[in-house]
Amino acid sequence: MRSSVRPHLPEEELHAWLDGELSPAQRREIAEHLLACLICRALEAEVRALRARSSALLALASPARIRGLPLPARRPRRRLRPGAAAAAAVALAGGTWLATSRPAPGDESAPRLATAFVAPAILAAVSPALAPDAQATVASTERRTGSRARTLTLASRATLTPNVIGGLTRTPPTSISRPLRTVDPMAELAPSTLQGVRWESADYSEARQAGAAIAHLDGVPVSSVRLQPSPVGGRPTAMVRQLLADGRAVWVVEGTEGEVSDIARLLEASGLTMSAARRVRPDYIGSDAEPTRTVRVVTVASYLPYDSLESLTERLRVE
Amino acid sequence: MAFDIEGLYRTTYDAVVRFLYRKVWDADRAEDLAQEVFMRALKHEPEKPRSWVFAVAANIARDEARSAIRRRKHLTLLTHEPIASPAPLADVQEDLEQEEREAEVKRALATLTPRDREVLLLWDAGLAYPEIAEQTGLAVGAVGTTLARARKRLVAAHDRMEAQRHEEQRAAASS
Repeated sequence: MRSSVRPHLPEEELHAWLDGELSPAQRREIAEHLLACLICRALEAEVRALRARSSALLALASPARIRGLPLPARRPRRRLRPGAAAAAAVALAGGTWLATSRPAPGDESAPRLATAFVAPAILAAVSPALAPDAQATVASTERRTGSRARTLTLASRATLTPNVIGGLTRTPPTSISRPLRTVDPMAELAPSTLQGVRWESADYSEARQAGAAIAHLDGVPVSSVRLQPSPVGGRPTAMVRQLLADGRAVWVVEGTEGEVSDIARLLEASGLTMSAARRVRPDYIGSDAEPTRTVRVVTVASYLPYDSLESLTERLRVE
Repeated sequence: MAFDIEGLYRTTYDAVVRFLYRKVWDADRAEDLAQEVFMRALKHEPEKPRSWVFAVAANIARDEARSAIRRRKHLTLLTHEPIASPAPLADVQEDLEQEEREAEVKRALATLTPRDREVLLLWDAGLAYPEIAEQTGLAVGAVGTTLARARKRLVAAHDRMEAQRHEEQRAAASS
């Protein structure tokens, strides 16, 4: 059995990974680790920057005739997939990212793994109105490549740490013309809400049968359940709506890290407060001979102040 | 499969020139030596042409370095001849800056061990880890480690030089 906690990735492995020199199995393992580990993601950004700088320095030392020419084309690796360009979009769509994305060795124009974690960048690209300040931050920091590593680290952290919009620590920006309204995120999760993602209503027992780890708050009545079947054969992502004694709704979301972050962004845009994401039992997808471990997290969302929400998470149960 | 010198030339010639240039630091000489490499390739029709051309290029560069030491005394006299047709000032300025930048990279590269430098240059020339391993005698698994160290040292050495240069500029400005 594979240990759920792997030691941090050695630096040379990240070099080999970025250089496109690892086997599919090794690559998958690294991609998984990076999904779960902020420290290694920061290291990956560092190695990426180091790699780019060393190549840029070497490019300065070229005869004038070929100085401006593109760097030598690397021989296409047998493992390189043409679909790499879709990786960022896939990451956005949800949990298929792990199964389909591949680093594009030596191809500087291809989307980088780390960009999949830059939530504000993706959010801004999809819907600029939702993240005006995030967009500005990304635009201004991307120009200064030197600060890229730090930006990535902070941005990637932002996808995991509590998103407190309209909560205690951050007042909603008044410049946004769209007023914050109390909406039911379940309604927002209509089948057409997220591209390529289908949400299905289910009742509690059906959901249990579908194998969903129905994360919920203990002792709080469940009013509805939505499931998003995994496109890659993993456990479905589940969103459970529960009603507190005072009639306020709480939503508990459990799924792969990628899916939950996408949903978190959606909820955040609706003005909900999110609890810090917690790791839950991982999932194994793919063939039994070569299973891929995916990290799953759970988060609680509500129109409640952040600390009230955090205290609610003490009642969180994941089966 | 027939030996495809044209394809080889098209895909690797510039990389070979670049690789050689970083060893001899003379554009014309690098082109000459690259020609020589491809002439030899045409004659030998090697089985693994990409690895082969870089192995030969490395050998040629090594021989070149030895003979260059013997020639150096004469060359120093020749290179100090005045330039016949002066270029526009802006171009000269730019050339000087490029030269300076290149000289820094050259010195940074010189701080690397020969093996680290070779692995880095071969990687930059487009060779894959197994090819680099074959040529340098390293285990494939050691290429990543070597490359990681080489990149780090190159960048660190360069950063040190930059810092030093800024220091000197500041000292010059304040005095």
